Amino acid sequence: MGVAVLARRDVEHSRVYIDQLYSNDSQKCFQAVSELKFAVIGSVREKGSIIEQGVVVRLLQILRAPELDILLKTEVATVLNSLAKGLPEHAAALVQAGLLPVLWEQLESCPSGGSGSAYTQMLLCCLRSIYRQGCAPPPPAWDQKLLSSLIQHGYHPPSNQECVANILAHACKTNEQQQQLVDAGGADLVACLLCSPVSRVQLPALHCLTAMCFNNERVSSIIATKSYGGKAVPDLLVGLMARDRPRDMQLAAATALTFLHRAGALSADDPRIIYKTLQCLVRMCRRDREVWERVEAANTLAYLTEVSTDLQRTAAMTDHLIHTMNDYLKDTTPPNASVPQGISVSPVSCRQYDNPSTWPELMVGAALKVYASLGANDEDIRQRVIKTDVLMNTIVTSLSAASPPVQLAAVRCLHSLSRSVHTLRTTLQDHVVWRPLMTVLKTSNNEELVTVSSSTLCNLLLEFSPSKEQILDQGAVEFLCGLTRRPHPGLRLNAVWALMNMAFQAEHRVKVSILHHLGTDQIFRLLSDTDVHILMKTLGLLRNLLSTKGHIDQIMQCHGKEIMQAIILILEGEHSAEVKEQALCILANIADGDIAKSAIMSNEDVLKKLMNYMVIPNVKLQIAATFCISNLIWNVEEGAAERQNKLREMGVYKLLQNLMTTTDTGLFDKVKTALQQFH
Amino acid sequence: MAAGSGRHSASPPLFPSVAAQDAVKSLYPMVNEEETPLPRCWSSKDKYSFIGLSQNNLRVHYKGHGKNHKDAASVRATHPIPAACGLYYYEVKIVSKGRDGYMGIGLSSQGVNMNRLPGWDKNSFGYHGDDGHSFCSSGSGHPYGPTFTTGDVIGCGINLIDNVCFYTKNGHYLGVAFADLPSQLYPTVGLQTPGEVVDANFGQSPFVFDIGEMMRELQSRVRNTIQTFPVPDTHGQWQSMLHRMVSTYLVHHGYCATAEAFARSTAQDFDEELTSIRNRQKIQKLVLSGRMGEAIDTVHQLYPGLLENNKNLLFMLKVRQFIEMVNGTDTDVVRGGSHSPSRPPTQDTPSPPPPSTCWATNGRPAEHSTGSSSTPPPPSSASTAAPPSSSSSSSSSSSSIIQQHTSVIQSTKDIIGGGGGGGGGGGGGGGGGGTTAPPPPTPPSTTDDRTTTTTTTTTTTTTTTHHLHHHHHHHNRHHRRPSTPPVHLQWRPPHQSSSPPPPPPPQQNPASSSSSSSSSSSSSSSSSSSSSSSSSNMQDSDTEMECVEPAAAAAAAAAAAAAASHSNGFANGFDKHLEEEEEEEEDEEEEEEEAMDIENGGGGGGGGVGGRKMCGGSPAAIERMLHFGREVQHMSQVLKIHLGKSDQNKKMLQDAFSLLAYNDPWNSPVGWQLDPLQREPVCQSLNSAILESHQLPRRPPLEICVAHTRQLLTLMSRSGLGSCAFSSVDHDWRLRWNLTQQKLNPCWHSDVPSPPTRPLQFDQSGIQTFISSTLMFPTVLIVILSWMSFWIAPDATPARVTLGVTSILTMATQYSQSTKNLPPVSYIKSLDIWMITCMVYVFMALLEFAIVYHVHYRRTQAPPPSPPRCPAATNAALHQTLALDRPGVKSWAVGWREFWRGDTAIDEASRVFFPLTYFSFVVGYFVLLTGGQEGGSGGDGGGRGVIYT
Repeated sequence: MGVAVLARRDVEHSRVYIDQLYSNDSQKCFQAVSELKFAVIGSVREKGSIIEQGVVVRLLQILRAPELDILLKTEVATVLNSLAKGLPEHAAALVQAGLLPVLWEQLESCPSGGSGSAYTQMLLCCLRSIYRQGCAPPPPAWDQKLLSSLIQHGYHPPSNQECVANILAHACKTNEQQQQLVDAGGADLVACLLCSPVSRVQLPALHCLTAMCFNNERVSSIIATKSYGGKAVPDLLVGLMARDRPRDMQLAAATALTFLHRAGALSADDPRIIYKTLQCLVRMCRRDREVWERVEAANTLAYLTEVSTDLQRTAAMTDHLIHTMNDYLKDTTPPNASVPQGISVSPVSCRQYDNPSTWPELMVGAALKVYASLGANDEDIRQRVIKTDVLMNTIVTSLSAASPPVQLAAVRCLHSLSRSVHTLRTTLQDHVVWRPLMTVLKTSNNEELVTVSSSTLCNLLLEFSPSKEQILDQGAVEFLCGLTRRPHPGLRLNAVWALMNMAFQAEHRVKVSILHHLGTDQIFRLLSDTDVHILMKTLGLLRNLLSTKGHIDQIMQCHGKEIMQAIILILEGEHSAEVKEQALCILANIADGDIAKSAIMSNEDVLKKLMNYMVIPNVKLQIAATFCISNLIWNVEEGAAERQNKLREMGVYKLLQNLMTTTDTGLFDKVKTALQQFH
Repeated sequence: MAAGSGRHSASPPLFPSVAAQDAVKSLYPMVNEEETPLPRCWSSKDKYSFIGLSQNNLRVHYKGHGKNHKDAASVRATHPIPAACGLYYYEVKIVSKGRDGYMGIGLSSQGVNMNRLPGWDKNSFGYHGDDGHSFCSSGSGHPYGPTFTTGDVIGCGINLIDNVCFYTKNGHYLGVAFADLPSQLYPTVGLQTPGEVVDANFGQSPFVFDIGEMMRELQSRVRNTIQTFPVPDTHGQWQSMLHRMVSTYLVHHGYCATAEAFARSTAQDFDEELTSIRNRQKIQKLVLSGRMGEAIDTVHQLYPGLLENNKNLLFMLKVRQFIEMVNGTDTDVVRGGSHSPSRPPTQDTPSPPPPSTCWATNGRPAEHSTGSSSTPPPPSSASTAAPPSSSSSSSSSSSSIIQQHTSVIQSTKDIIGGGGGGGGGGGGGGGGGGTTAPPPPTPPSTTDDRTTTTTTTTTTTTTTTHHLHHHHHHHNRHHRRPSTPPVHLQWRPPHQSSSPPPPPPPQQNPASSSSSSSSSSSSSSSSSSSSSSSSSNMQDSDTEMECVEPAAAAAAAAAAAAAASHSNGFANGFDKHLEEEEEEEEDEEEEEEEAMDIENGGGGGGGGVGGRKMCGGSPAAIERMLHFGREVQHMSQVLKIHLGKSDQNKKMLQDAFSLLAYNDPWNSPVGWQLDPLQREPVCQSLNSAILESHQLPRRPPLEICVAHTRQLLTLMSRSGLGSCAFSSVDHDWRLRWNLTQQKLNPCWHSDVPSPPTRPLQFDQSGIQTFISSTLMFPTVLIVILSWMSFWIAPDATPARVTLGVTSILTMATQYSQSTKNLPPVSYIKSLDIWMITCMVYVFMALLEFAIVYHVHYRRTQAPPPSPPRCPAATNAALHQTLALDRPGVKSWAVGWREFWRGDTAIDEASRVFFPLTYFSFVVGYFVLLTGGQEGGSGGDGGGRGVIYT
């Protein structure tokens, strides 16, 4: 400190050692670096000024110079480490200056046997500091050799253990990296580090484990089977999660277990998950914890309970979780709350808690996520969630005015809640949620947000939803049709799905509007989509469009040709039976129309195809085809005899008679009805 | 064999039941169950009449009609939840939800109406299964948790630190239900509709919920609170205060080497001089080794006026001295009359005998030296010993009894005893005929007879003392620190072997001390000499036992004699010299003496405690002890006059004198006094008194601090502060203290022992042995006896009948004897099974004779038998009889026809069959007993297993 003050006062003095830094005399250089070291340690301002002066380039140059003394290099690394520990901007500047490649290169050139050497340690520390600032771009793909040497370095002295664990925890982001890390023996290292008695090592090891497991089934299953000292990694984690451990450790261990569970390595009914992890996370959400702990815990909890209904039920009854989450919504952080110092959050949420003014928002987001997960499957829980005080208001306000993460959480929550018919008709209607939702859909360009919003919209457009009409009035058709043109398959799917829901038992004008806005060419495009789900939903949409007699005729009059083309396209294409069944069903619907019948009857090709499907050994297709035929020959309608004759000529009657021998009752009934229609 | 195996296998079964009880206890280690018992089951009294209890009062079922709320019924546990639990938890399993499942689980205070579900009334709290609501002293509930029904396990816990109640369902924590709970709550369940059955688990079996982890969290929280408690620490005062506390503790207890080292390393100084500490340490050593007489004299010498001013203390010391005399450990028997404080310290005070020499020489050579030194024949010694003793009749009778002993060793003891008696008489009456029996090895040069005798006797007794002392201490230490005892024992001899050849001439010290009779000079010189010697010893070993020995070291011969007599004390039986003396002591003890007299004969054989005898077995010593006892009594009367009545003193005296009433005082009800641990309070009060006289604190601040803390914890538990459950002073403190002590002072085990703490242990094996040896074994013998009849010819009818009938009668007597001692119980004890089976066996032996006789009779009547012509009737009858014995016959591997040789064949079959089945029964019995007892809870009165139906 004293040195720093002195240096600031005496600019000349600082000049002196900076000048000396560029000297070729290694002795002088060493002197200068030493002085520099004392100047920067502990002084943020000094760090900034040194970086501004561009000293870093020279320092890197020294590091790179092969002829220079290792002692000097160690000193330089110390200075760089100190600089990296400053503000995040400082670290960013260092990265900008090309620090990382130099460090990696130097580390690589270090003998792997000499893990204990001061230089290696300092290099690792420096890397650690950079990565912990959270601004370093991870190496795109790791050099396998470098990685394994890094892991080798990570075994011995505790300081190295800590550094390596931190580096790995922050650098491991992609699936590929996770895989590489495990292949290089990272899992063993982590298992070993978990057993370290030093909490400074255990904690980054936990973060590293978390980073490795995230969404990676293969890696997780490998890690779950690793053991150290006779204890499997999950058991080690449970040990670290014990209630008398430090809280951040408990939280990190719980997160690791959560990720292991979500990646399929541990089942939901494993006592380590359903008893230990769940309880630990719920406990962490309590009021008496730090804000960052509560937010982290709630986020993890939401992730943990996202899928399993069992976990959702258990969580909903554990420790008043629903009430606790309500506190999150109401909580107003004291205005003068200070930023927690020296907390070690997981790399994922690095630097997230630096600004206390964002805390309430973070808490709301986390709580909404938890609610979304809890209410995903169980109607009882959903009702309890709905009854929470300010929830709906919060959702509505968050939808309209909040940062994207919170908006996303709100939409997710809304999506969960919209799965309940009761809620759809009551609460959601009362709060006019569709309005902000539409705004979000129209204004946002965040794909994930739009995806979730559109799926929510799907639910809101169900025919029993009272808000359907209003949404339609808002120009939903136009918007959704626009969405079908988006490149994101999820969006297209949701859009078509929403349109399908919308078209179900809809008025004619709606159908016309859909067809109008969608356009036949877009329908063709959707039908040729690679995603089967989209294809199915598009066919569903067509089926819904062509439902009642009047509508069928009207639509077929306008678009008959295209529709028939589309159906032939599907029937001829290489599709699964389900898809073709849908197509046949559409045909059957068409055959129900008075005028539309002619579209089929006039098309020999289609008729032959129908007959073809009647003999195919797939009952569902047979049923659909027979149904279509029986619609065609329905004898109360005019021109029935004519059609019957034509079909009889084609040998349909015989086919039907042959089908009478079927064992399938559904098919038998259809065939019987069809035969009865024949005179 | 039966007895041995019985004891071996029967000892474990008692523990499972204890362990089952302890499962509850072990959850709450800080609860003092004598003051605040833990709830372990539902109370059969504190319940509404609609409640039925079963399964050890753990299962609750509803037996009312359950129409509406008015039919609700609840039951409380037997005891309220003690605050010292810290975190209390119990679980209830819903066995059946009955008709509507209106079950309430919770807590309530004493006196809350039991015709209600918990939670409805004031001071009652409950969680109800029908709606999942929590009821906090009101009729309307709040939504709390899920509902619960058949098969669910509901846990209810109280955190007594935060005073909140929480519930769990199937191991999932449901969150806090109630806060601000009152104290003294009982676990309560309430039921309301028919068919509702719940089982409680108060900790007897593992909980579904992991309560241990929660406890650990609380514990770490409490510990954290304690550790981070803000201490006003300016300029390191706190640190120096702690140092000061430690140093004062060390000084107080006389760990002077440690204290010095500690003071050096922490830059402290202590108030007391080093020599003073050493003096105190020396006195403590003497007291703790049981050499009270020396201790008293040393105190007189070093701290004149201390005991004069504190008569009660002196009295306490005297009483202890008396006890030590009984114990045979005190050295001061000879100087019985010299209790007056004005009297200067005499010869033996600074010169205790050389234990090291004894140690080195005793043992193997003892017998030989005895043989050589025991020249005077027994009768003469008796006659010489008789006249000088003041109360002649008793003494003579005692010596006449001694004459009955023919052992050579005994004679030696007689001589010494007689000499000692002479010494004692000299003390009282002026040294009459002590000269008649000068012990051969002692050179009679400068000192008079009395001194010589003194030395010898002193040596004798001290050796015993020493040995015993070590014996005890070895055991004590063994209990406390299992790792050290070997060190302790092995470490001594080498050291002593380096020092034993005692350079100073034996007479020098007695001479110097006798010459310096004036109190002041002698005290100063001896104290300085002893301190110097002790310090020299301290440097190498810190044992200090040797510090006084060179002065007293007698000639090698004397040591040998001492060793011999010492071994006598161990080898020979002690008998009735005591009883005649007793009459003058305390009249109330006469009856007991009679009883003791009778028991004496058998007691010698049955004792087996290693031959510990009163006063080391020497009759003269006993005489002196009795004499001393009289003086002590006199002193008590004087004290009574001067200081008024003191119940404490009276009790002390009575207890001490009661020792005389027993033949084997060590195993008597007042035998605890002889425990070396009992020296410690005396030692402490003496130490405190000395310190007080020097204006130093009576007790070291550290001990006061610890006592305060301990008291505080009890207070906390009494006033319902749950934190006390997780702040265990004893555990942490003692553990750390011991560790540091051992680190600081490698031989602290030879220093003053730590405050007396001895875990209470109930030794059940005694009962087992008793039953096995007194009941089982004789019955086995009787049964075997009854088999003798199989070897007697069938002709000898009277012999066989008598044998059988006598065996049966004896068995019956044994049986009735055995049942007499045991409490009557309704169920069948395993002992009954044993007895009945044995009796059946004996009876069967008699029955066998009847059959044999019958067959024999027939055979003698019938023509000489040839197998094919055997009469059909007989054959059939026999066939039937032998069918019973078939297994035995088969194992004999003899064909049926071949085997058939008549009456002798039955006998021969029985010879194998009976022992075989009987011993397999015996083995099976003990195996069964072991297996059967594991499930049982609480053995019956005899400690045998209970066979449940």
